[in-house]
Amino acid sequence: MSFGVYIHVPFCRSKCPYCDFYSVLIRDKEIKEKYTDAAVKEIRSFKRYFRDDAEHAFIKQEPDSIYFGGGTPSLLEPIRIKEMIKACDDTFGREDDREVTLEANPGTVDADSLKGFKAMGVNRLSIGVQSFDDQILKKLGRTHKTEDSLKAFEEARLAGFENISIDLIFGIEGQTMESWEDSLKKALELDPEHISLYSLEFMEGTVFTRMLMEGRMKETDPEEDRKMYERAAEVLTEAGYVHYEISNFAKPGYESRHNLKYWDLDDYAGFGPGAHSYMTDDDTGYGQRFYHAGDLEGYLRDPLSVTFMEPNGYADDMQEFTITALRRSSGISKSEFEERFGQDFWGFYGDLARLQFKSFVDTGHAAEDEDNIRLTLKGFNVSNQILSLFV
Amino acid sequence: MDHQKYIRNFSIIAHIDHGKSTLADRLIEKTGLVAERDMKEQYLDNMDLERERGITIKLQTTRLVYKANDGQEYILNLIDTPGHVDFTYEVSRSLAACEGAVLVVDATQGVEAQTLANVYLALDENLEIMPVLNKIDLASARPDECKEEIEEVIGLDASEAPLISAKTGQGVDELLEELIRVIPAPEGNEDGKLKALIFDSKYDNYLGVIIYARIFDGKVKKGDMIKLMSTGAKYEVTEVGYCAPGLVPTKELRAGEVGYICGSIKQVADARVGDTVTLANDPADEPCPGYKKVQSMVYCGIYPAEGEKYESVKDALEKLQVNDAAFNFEPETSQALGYGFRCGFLGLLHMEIIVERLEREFNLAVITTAPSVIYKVVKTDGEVIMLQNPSNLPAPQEIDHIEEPMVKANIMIPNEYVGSIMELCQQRRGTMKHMEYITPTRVQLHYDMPLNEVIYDFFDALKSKTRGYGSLEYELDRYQKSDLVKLDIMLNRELVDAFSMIVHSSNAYQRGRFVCEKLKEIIPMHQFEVPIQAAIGQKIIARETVKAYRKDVIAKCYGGDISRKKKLLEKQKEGKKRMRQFGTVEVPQEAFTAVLKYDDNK
Repeated sequence: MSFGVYIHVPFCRSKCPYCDFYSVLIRDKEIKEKYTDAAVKEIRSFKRYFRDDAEHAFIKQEPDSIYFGGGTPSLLEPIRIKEMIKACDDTFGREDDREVTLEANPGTVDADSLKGFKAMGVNRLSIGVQSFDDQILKKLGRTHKTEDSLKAFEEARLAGFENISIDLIFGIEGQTMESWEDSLKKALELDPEHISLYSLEFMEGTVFTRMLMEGRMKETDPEEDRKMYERAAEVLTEAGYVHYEISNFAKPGYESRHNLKYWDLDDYAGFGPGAHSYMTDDDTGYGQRFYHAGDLEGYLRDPLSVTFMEPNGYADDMQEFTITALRRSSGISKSEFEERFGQDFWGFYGDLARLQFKSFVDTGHAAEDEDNIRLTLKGFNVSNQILSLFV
Repeated sequence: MDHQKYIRNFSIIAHIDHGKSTLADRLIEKTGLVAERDMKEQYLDNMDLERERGITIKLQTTRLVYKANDGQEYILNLIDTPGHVDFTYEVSRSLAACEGAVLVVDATQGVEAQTLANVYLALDENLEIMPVLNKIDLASARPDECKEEIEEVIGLDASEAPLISAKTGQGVDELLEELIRVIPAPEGNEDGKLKALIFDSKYDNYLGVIIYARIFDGKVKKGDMIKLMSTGAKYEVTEVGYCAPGLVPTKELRAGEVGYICGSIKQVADARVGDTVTLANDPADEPCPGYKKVQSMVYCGIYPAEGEKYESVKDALEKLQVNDAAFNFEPETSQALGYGFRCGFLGLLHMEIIVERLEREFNLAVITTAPSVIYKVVKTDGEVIMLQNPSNLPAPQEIDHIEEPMVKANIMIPNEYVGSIMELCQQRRGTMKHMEYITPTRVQLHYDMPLNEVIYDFFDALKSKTRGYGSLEYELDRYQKSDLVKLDIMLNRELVDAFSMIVHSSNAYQRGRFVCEKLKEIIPMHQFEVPIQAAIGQKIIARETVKAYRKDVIAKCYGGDISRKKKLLEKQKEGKKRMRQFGTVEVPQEAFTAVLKYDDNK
C-alpha cells in the first residue's frame, strides 16, 4: 500500500466566501517562520510519536507523494517549503519518483518564486484559477483577475513545471453557459495536464451559506448546474482528458497521485492545523482517522497537542472505500474488494442494496459486469443517491 | 366523619395558556410538597410531550397539605384535568370526583369558549366554582372588566375572586384561604357500602393498572375484593394509597378521600374512566352516575415505515392501548402500504399524540394515512356500513346514499374576526345557528358543521385567522345525508390507496388541487418525471408534475471530506428510509400528514 503526506498551510491574503478549509489571514512574515518550525517539529516527531505509543505502531514505507494544500501554500517562501520536504525525507525516507504538489493562487506567485519552488523539489502545481471570467471571480471573492491566472500559468511553464493542474468552479448564481464554455475554452488553450471542476457548494460556516440563509444569494437551478457539468465533461473528454473521478480530469498518466490515495483508501499522514490523516492500524487492520483542530495558535504552542482520533470499525473501512472508489470512473473491482477486506462485495451490502443498485444500472446511471461496478457520467450527476446505498 | 371536615377536593379549570399548570406548580410549592430546587417547570405535566406542547394530556392528581390561618391542617386533593377539546369526557369525570373547582381566568384575555365549556361541565356536576383572576402582574391585566365578564357570561359572583399571579406567587396564600372557605368539605358515609369513582387509570409495569379514584362512601384497603360495576370484573386489592404526587401507600382509603387502588389489573380498558369501584361481597346499590364508554371520533391507518417490522408496531400499539382506554386499533391492509392498523382516536390531537409517542417512546417510524371520520354508507340493497377507511367505500352503483357525522361547534372569538371566521366556517360547510355577543368585544358563534371539516385543519385555521385568540369546542350531534365523493390520488398513474379521502363534492376540486400541489412540494425529484393526479372515479380533476432529476453537487472529496461525506450520505440514506416506495415513486412519510395541514397561503 502506498503512503502520502499532506501538509496544510493555513494562510490566506483574503478569505474566499465559499471556502471552508481552515485558514487565517496572514499578518506578518514571522508567523510563516513559526508555522514552518512547528510543522517541521511535527513531521520529525511523527515516527517516534506513534512508535512510543505501542498500540499504534505504524510502520510506513517512503511516501510517493507530498502535497502542500491550504490555505495558500504559495504564500510561503520556497525555502520554507524546502524545510518541510527535508523533514519528510529525514523522517520517512526519500522516494525518488515522488509527486510533490503545491497549491498556488494567481497573484501570489511570480517567475522567481515559481523557479524557487521548482528548485526546492516541487514538481506539480495546482493553480486556483476558479474562472476565466472577471465578474465571476469578483463574485467568488477572489482577489485575482483572469490576466493573473494566465500570467501565473505561463511563468510556471517557464519555470519548468510540466505537470500543472487548474481548478474551475461552476454553478454560480449569475454564471451563464456562455461564460462557463468560455472558461473551459481558455483552460484548454493553456493545455494543462490536469483540470478539477467543482460545483459551488454551500459549506457550513461560510459567508455564502449565511447569505443563502438570509436570502441574499441563490443556489443555481439544478438543471442548469447539471448542464454545465455535462458540457464540461463533453468538452474535456473530446480534448483528450480522461474523466477519471467525478470532479477530476487528466491527460493520460497525469492523474493526481496524491488525490488517488483518498479514493483508494490508502494511508496518508496530514500535518499542520486542520489537516486530516488516515492510517491503517497494524494491530487491528482497520483504519483510523486523525485530524488537527483548525487552531493555529494551539498548533504553534505544541504541534502534537491538538490531534483528534476517530478509529474506524469493521464496516467503516469497507463503506469509506466504496463511497470514495465509486467516485472514480474505473469503479470497484469486486475481487480486489474481497481480497482486501475478506468479504464478498454484495455479501457485505446485502440483497436490498444490490437490487437498488441494479435499478440504477437499468436506468443507465451505473454499470456492473462480472468483476466491476462503477457509475456512469449520468450516475455521477446523482452520485449521492447511489453512494448512499453503501453507508 | 370528622376527617372529612379537613378535606377539599378540587380541580382547576382554565383555558390553554391561562396558567393552570403554573398555578398547580405554585400550590405544590406553597404547600411544601416538592422542594423548590426539585421543581421542574409545570410539575404535573410529566410527559415530555406535554411540557413541549404546553398542554396536559394525561391526568395527574396530587395531595397537598396546607396549614391554614385557623391553625388546622387541611388536605387539598388537586385533581388535574386534561386541557383539550378531545378529552371532554375525561374532564367531566375528574370534575365529578370533586366538590369544587377553581376557575382560572387570564386577566388579560377574559373568558374563552373552552373555559365556558368546562364551567358548564362543572356546573353539571353541581360543583362550587371559585373564580380566580391570574396574570395580575401583567400591565395589560384588566381584572375589573374580567370580573364583569365572568358575572355576565357565566353568572358567577366574581366580586370576591382572588387576584393572583401564578408566575410570581402573588395572591396564592389568599387563594388557598378562600378555597378552604368556599369549597365544601366532602360528606360521604364512611360506614356505607364502598362507592369509588374512577377518574383516571394508568398502566405501570410493576403494579399493573393504577386506578385513580375518589371514594364517595365506605372504605377500601389492601386485601379487599373489589368489583368494577360496569363489567362485574373482580380483583383483589394489592395496594392503596394517595398521590403526593408520587405514589405513597397507605393503610386504607376512606370516604371523602382521593387516592389510588391497585389490583393486578392487566389493561386500562378493564378499569375505564367513569366506572365505579365497589366491594365484591358487599356492593353498592348503584354506580356513580355518568359512566359511558368513550367513542373514537377520528380514524386513520398506521403503517410500519420501510424497514420497520409489523410486529414491533403492533407491540407498541398494544402497550399504548394498555394505557389509553380511548385508543383502539385493529389490523387492516392497504395495497400501497401493506399490513398495518386502523386506529381510532378521540380527535386529531389525540391521534398526533399517539403517533408522536410511537416515534419517541418506541423509536418507530410509522406512516399515518389521512384521518377520517366514520361515514354511514347505505347501500342500494339496504345494508348499512359504518365506514372507517375511505378505500373500503363500495362502488358508486352500490351506494344509495352516504351520511356523515355532524357536530355542534361553539366558537368564541374577539369581534374583529367575526367576518373572517364566518367565511372560514362557510368554506367548511358550516351553517350558523346563532351568534351572541358575550361582551361588547367578544362573540360566540354557534355552528352546525360536518365533523370531517373540523378534524382536518379547522382548529389550526381558526387559530391562525384569529392570531390565537379564537377557541373551539364541539360535540357530536347526528348523522346527516350528504353529497360525498371519494377523492383518489395517483402517482405516476398508479393509485395510492393510502391517500384516498372522502370529501364533499363541492370541495373536491379545491382539495384535489391542494393535495397535488402539496405533494409536488414534498416528493423529491426523481430520475424521471412523476405526474401527480387527483381523481374522482375515472375523472382526473387536478394534476401536477414533479420534474425529473435531483442533482447532486459535483463536490470535491479529499482527505478531510470523507467523514463529512459519509455522514451526509448516511443522512440521505436515513431520509430515504423515511420514504415509501410506490411502484417507482418514492414518497417521504411526512407526505401523508402534510397533505392535511392547514396552509395560510392556500
